Amino acid sequence: MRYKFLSVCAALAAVTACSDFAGVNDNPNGPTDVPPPSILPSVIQNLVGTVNGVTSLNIRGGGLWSQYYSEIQYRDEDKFIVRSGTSGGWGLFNSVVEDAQRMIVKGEESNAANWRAVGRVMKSYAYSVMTDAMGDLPYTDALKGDTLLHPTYDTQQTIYDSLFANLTTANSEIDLSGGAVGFSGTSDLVYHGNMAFWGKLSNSLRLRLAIHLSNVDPTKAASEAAAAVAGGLISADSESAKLTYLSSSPNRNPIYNDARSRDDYGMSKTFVDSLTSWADPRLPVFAQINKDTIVANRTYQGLPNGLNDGEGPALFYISRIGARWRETAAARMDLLSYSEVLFLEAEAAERGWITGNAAQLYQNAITASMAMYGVSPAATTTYLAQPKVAYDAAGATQAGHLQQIAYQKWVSMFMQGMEAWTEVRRTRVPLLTPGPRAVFGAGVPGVIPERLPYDDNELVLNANNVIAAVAAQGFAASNDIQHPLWFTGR
Amino acid sequence: MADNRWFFRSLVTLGLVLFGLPVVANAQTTVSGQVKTSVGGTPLVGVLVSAPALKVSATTDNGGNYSLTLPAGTTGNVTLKAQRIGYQTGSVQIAVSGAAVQQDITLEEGAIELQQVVVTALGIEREQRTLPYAAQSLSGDRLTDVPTTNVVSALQGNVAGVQVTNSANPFGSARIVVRGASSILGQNQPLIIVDGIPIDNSAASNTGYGSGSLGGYDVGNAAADISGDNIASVTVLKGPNAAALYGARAANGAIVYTTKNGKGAPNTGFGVTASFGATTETPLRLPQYQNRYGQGFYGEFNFVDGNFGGKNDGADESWGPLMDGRTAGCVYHTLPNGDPDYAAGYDQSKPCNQFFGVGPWAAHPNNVRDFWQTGMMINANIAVARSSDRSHVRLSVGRTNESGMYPDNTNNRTDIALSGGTQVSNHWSAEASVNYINDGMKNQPAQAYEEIDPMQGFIWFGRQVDTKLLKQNLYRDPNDPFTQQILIGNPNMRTDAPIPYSWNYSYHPSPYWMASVKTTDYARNRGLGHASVTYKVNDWLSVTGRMGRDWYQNQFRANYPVNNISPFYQGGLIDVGETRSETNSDFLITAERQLSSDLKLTIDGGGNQRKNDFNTNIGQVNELVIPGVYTLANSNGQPSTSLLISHKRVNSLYGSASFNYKDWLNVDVTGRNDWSSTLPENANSLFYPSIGAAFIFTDALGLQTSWLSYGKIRASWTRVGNDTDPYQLSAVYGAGTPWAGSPSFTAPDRLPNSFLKPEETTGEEIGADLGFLHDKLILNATVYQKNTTNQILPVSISGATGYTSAVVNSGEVQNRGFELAANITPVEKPDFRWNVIVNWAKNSNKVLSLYGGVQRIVVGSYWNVNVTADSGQPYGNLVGYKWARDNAGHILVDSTGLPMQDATQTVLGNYNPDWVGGITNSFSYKRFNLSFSFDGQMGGQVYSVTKWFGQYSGVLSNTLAGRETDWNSPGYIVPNAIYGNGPLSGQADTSHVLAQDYWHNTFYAQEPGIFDATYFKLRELRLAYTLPANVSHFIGFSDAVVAVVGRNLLLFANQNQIDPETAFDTGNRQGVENGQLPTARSIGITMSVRP
Repeated sequence: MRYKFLSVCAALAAVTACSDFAGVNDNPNGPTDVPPPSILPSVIQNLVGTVNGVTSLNIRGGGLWSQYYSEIQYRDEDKFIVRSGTSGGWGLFNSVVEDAQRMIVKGEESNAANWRAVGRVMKSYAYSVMTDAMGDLPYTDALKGDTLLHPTYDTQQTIYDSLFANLTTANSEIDLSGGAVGFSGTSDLVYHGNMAFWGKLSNSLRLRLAIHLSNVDPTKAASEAAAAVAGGLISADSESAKLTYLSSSPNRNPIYNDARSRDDYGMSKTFVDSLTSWADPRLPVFAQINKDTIVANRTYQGLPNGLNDGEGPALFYISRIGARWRETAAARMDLLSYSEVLFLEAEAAERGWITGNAAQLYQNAITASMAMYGVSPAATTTYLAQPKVAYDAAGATQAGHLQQIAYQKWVSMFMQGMEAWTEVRRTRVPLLTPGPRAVFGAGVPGVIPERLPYDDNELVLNANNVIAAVAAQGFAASNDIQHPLWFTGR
Repeated sequence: MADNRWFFRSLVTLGLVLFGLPVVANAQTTVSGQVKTSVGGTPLVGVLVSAPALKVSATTDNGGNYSLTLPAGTTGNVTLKAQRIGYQTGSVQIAVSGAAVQQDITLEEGAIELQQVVVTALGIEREQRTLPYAAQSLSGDRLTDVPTTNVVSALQGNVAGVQVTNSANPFGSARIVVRGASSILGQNQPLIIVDGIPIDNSAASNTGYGSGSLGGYDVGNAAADISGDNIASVTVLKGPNAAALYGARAANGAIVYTTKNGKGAPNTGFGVTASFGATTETPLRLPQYQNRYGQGFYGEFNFVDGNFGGKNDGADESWGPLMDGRTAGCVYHTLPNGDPDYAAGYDQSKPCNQFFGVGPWAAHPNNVRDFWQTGMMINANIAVARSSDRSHVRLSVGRTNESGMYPDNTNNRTDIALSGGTQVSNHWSAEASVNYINDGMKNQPAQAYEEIDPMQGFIWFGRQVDTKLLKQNLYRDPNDPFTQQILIGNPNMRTDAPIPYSWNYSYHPSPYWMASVKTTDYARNRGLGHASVTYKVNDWLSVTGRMGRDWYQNQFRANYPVNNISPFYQGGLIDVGETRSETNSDFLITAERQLSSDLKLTIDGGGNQRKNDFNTNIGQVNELVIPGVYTLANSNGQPSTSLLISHKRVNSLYGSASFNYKDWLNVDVTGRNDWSSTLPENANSLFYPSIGAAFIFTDALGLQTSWLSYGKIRASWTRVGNDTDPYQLSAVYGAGTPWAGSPSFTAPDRLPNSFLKPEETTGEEIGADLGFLHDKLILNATVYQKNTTNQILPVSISGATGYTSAVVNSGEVQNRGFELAANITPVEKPDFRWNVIVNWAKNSNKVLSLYGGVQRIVVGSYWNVNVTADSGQPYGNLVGYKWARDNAGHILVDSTGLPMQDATQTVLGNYNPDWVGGITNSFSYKRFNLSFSFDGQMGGQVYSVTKWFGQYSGVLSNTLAGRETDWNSPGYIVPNAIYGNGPLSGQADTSHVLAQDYWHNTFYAQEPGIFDATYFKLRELRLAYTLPANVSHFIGFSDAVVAVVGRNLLLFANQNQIDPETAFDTGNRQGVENGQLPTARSIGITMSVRP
């Protein structure tokens, strides 16, 4: 027993034994590898939660600047002051894009076509949101951390080309027979394993991106739009790409979660007044009536954008975001809905890029939106019958039609603030006016932020490349939010 | 639990020791006597009395008595040496002629010793005079004279080069750094050793945002568990040179505690030593609040539902109407569009509604001070000990109870220590100890950007709020109409649970509600022990085998009631269970040979195997189904749970050789090889050498004079390491949010490194120890430099790589500094002694390079300020936004007169002080002893979010600027400012901006949150009286002392808002403050007796 004390490694006289630690440093706290079906739920939740969530993108970014919402406290972004640390979704790189890329790589290694295809669609979706928000981004050099720590930036045009190619590949490689290498109902939170729908999402996203290029490259836009439509689009609301959240924690929708502990966002006066003047039956879905102390006076009222804290009506006069999201944990949040696809088709048809009846598609798009929000067919009919809603009301010009499509799309895209903002920047419909305290463009119609900043850290971690990208695009700085992006054509 | 066998092994060993107690009697010449202090004549326990030439020694008992048995036949002159830490070594010559000799010895005090024995690395005892590096020792008394609950805190100001940052909470943690931070993102605190065994000193992380491993609560650093009453001495091995034998853990120095044992205790009966202390606690400092304007915005306030249902009644800021006692007219008349009509004035027809109804709109200047109670700390320790000439045993029991300043907060610690040793035969000896510690903390306040921190709640506050009303009314009557109104405005509130009474329902539960209904419970159970056996082969060679283990379990629970507002408005709980252990098995062979009459060689060689194991379980419920039932099963939705495990092994071989020539030249060489499980298999072996020399030139060259009594110079060089954590070499997938109970995974964000090496620190130091005027003035001075390279950095990388960070070996940090310790005895008379101890150190720190041309690494962030390592600059910069300025230094304001944010972030300050120091004066007059210590730091900055947001919210006194007359009058003109844009660009700013607009605008720059962190504290004060011997004998003791003591009595600083000695945790993100809990100012009495 007493010699036991001496029986440490040296006493064994085998110095090599001192360096033998078999297995001690194997990390027991997580898997070293997992198959794509275990990655996809995280990719979907992160993508929907980030793009349509509360901070920086939807509520505090694109949707705020599209004047759906207003900041009722801490009104910085409402005045176009972007808090430090804000970016146009840079975090998607490691939360979604890298994970989707691993799905693609694992799909290649395992010859599992559907793993690859779904990975490509998710990666393309995330990239499209990021480039529409920020401009040029690392693409070719991206996701190569093992070998390349300072990725160069590709132009937005190159990224769009890559995304079109990616989506084309995704659609072509989908294996409808699925089988063992597909996704189960529990791993695929969007389509529950229905690969045909993934193909439709792939084409519909391609159509969305094609339409984005209407100002800058109509030829490319036309050909991509036609190809997308030929591939087969989302053709019913049941095929809409969406995540329906659950009633219990931790799978509740982010708007609901935020409203349990904070009360920072109300409805924008711009949006509420517009819907009121159009007698839009979706207003009670999008907004809640205010809490006027005189109950009989309660109504829908928005707060003007771009005021100082404490300015404007007291907050109990301000409507909050609709109960559909704010008070309902198990809300659905959309990545790409059937109604949007119809609007995209309407625009493509109106422009003559595809065959189809633009008027009918326009009317169908509004109807689909109404249905999605539970508006009755009768109320929908009444709305459609209004002269200014009717397709020819603004005059039979293409410009007038496009304006109608764009306005209706803006209304229908509520709670998908990033895409709405992209479309507002492309079409300038509606022509939004910054609030009186905005740090630029106050009171000037059409002057809203044109982009969100790059990640602050890029200036430290990848300085040369971000500085080159900033210069190439003519930005004043990496956090310049006034300079229009390439896709806008301005 | 196989891993607990060590405990039983220790017990068995201890049992053998206790019941073995062999007593061997010899009839030879004995020398006996008493050892006393030179002033006051107090008997000294634990003094080692030896006759070096005869190789015999003994230790004094609790009465200060010793008895030495000389070898038979000894005659002639014999030199006796008496050594004790804290005292200068005494030496007397006696004449031996066969008869028993009676010889008393007196020792002089001196905390910095030239001749004393110190415990160095691996528990090797060395004479201070032979050491080639700086090491400073303190006796255990210094740690307990003025009671503190943290033995690390007690080093503050007492050791040159040591910087301690205490938390405000007496049971909270203390960060200790010796000679500056050298690791950018790794460990910068020294290794803590107790009786030769490394112990864990980790502390719960607190991010300051209510998260971190314990959600904002500070339960203390683990080394605080060691009771000061059990410490015989502590040695600070200041640099890597002194700690070189610890190899991969030596870079930050080591703190070596030696615990008390039964040596020298009476050999009949049991000697009882006891101490008792009782102190009261009150806040040392609270922020300076303004008392002129109440809750609201732009001069208006009217309470309806506390959630913006009324006029600004959801506001948690104080920009409301002037608190002039009005009962009506707190809102303006309105214009037709609803905007206030300032011209028409306040609407006197409307009463001033507050959270309790209508009442005078008046200040409650003490509403924060009133919240804090007078705390009380009681500590008691009793120890019994017995010894024979071959065996000894000591049992000690200690208990500390604190009822804190925070309502319902109670903390306690129980400590039981048992130690013993025996000389089994001429060859075999053994010793063992077991120490069990239990900490319990109930209802601690937290420090975080959350409502769980009351001081954070008082930053966002209405200055008119009468906290007494909140105290008297914890719950609202659910049926009263006022409550119904609140429920309408707060639809998230649940009516199936008690409805809290508060002044604001948008963000703030009442602080009393938080204190009494939100409950936390923390317990730490710890077992520390070691056993060793020594075999003495012959008179120059011995072998020791030793095993030690430090094991503890943390259990933390926080319950959040339903309707808590924030966090967990629907109620919730956090439960953390954590087990940590470190087990060390080692052996040491010691050989000591006189090679010639002038040259002595001491060789130590050994090996060690170390195992670190860690396991934590966390369960969290974010929403309770049934109010008041705090179980994981009562979770609405899936509770979040996590499990984390970590294992590490390190094997080592080491050795040292010490050559001593004529007792005036000492040369030391050490080497250690570590093999670590955390490093790549083919490259996990690392060698750490050191070499040093000490030269006593006064002895060698015969230079002793009456003014220079002693002089030594020393120099050493070493290369040591700094550990890395397990699992850095490869990555695993992280857990994504599970969906409907099914798991999901996400790719790792940290790029691993399969070629990792440990950090490497090269240290050089030279120093001198000088004694002047018969050692009335003793100076120790050291100049050092240490360079740390191969820093292990989880550096941030562009997210576009697919990762957010990568682990690399890169970067170099240099620390250079100068330490000075002085011990001065200006007066020494039989009845009066005045002693001054000064410790002073200046460390200059520079980040020489970072990874691959990177200019900045962010160590941590807090509220828009980054704590950074910037290449070419000192470590610990505070980086944020300043106001834009022109070249002449004018602040640039926009056309409305508000300062504009600078284009880029700049360095606002640095958290490291220019120097740190402490001074202790002690006066002994007959039976009285008065001592007091000041310590503090010069320079350094702190980013105070209390200041930054306290200005934003209008609660601090300086926000009266701009509203001296009324809330909107006269307005604020930014001093020394020019317009930076608009038509007036370049002209002097003359715009009056509303105070609220001005201070709200400070959100865009962190410059207005920076404070100078210079401070000095009257840290300790003690006035002690030793009872006359006849009185103490009458009550049964040889020695009894009563004292009045105080701690943290006075604070001197360059600002009046916070205590600059502040930290969230013991990590490297220092220099940031938010909602600081008040530092406890303690005043009380202590009593102690010795047998």
